[in-house]
Amino acid sequence: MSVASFQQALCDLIASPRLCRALRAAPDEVLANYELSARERARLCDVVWQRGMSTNCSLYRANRVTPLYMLLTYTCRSLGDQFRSLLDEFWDAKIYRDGQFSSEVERFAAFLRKRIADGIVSSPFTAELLEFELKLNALRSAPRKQLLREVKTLPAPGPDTPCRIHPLARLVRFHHDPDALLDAAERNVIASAKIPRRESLLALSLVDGEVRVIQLPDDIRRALDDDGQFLESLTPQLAPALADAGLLVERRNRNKSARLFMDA
Amino acid sequence: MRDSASALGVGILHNPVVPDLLKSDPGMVDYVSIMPDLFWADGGPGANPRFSESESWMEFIDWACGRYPLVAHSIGLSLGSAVFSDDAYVEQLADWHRRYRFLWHSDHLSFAQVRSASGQEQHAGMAVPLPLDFEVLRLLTARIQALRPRLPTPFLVENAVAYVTFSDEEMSEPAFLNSLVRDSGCWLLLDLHNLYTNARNHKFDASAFLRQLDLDAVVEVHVAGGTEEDGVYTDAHSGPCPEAVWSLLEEIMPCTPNLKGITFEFHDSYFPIFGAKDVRAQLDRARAIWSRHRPR
Repeated sequence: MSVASFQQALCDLIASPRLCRALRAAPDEVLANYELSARERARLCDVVWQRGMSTNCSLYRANRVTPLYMLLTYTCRSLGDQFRSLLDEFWDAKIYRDGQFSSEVERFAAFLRKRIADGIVSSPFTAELLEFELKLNALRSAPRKQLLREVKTLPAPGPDTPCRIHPLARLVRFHHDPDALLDAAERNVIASAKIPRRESLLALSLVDGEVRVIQLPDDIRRALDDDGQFLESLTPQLAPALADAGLLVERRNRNKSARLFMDA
Repeated sequence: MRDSASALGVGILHNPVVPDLLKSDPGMVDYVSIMPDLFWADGGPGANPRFSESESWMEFIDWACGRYPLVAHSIGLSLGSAVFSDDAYVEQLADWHRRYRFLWHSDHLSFAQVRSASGQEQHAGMAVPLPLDFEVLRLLTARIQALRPRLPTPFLVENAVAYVTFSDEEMSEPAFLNSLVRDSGCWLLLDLHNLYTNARNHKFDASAFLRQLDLDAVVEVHVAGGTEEDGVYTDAHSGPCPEAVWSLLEEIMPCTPNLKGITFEFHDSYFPIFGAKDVRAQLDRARAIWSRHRPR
């Protein structure tokens, strides 16, 4: 147990410069939480004074922030000066579980949604940029060729055919002018930007291999409930803009083999 | 000599900019080193499916495997973890060996994953070096011995970069590595930039280290560049190899009869500064050294 406990303590220290400082100040108090041999205690007491421990702590933070900044770039930028304190809070609350980008992003998104709901996040843009980027990431990681093969087996829908959104497309609602919002996020001026409110609905499509953004007319937006579900059966007649863009596919009975298709 | 793979020459560690580099200049390398872990998303134990391969990344490996010999350099075995085992992950690696016929498999002499007393998994966020004690040696030996029959190729361990040192260690690093090779049957991936980084930060003689190491066990060498940050030299893979690393490579070449390849590593985030011509120059320099010591 001693080696396991030593490794646990070292991980905890690398994850927390605050814990390193606490160990310097009060080693008995900090190390009481671990089952250590005298030599392991001495090693931990020594490493927190080494300059290289700061490098370890910086590497940990750089490696942990990388997936967030890489996959939620606009969201992170929108947080401005709050980003650092929210990261600290997230890292204190949620241990780094597995080093996987997607699960770390999911955990941060859940944490951020809660902070937004609690009114702690001050940017009015974060919520919609978060949802936009999560949907974009879901599209980019989708098995595109497989989904296209499955869609190809479906007949073209008639005007009244019950449909669903193409598995390589996502609808995203914006409450601010999306052009101005995404432009400001791209130029990294989103934290201080003033962007007019404007309700709109975009479709993101990866059908052609590149992400295409399509502005949808207001009547489609009004056909959605607050959760983004269509209030009535989705047909090409109800949403001709989606049908014209090739983003409606026939709704089929769910079965096991179509599971991936349905979940997309 | 327990290994039958033939010598390859000069290779490159795959990163997201490597596919375009190779497609525009296919002759720049003799082989490609692949980090399999980066080609899939791992949902974790119990997830179904556990591993989801990235379609766009798979296009590269499918393209590359018909053109280059491939070697595997995984990052997820966490060889030094006191309490860690992941059979499904090892089986996934074995499956990739069957599919892509990697010539050898390497991972790092460190740990990254810990499991608390309550069973909760935690990632260290980096490869954490190990104290060089007999207890750790026994742990690693048993783990590598259990792993080797499951992967159908020679298994290599890479010497670690360590920004901190542990007091009162029972062995020197060369003695530790020599014992591990002898006891576990593994081979060595000698990362000369890791060695250079440690020697520079902890002020020891890298050449003396190499003189103590069993160089017969070295199958692959890594070379890379780094940067100095706040008084600590880091293994950042940020650009060209320091001259001292090329000198170390020259030193070991006559004494490494089982060396199969020299792999250059760089991080793609530095590619806007360190461009295609610079990568090619590093590979050419490695090739010149290789050719001088391994004439065809």
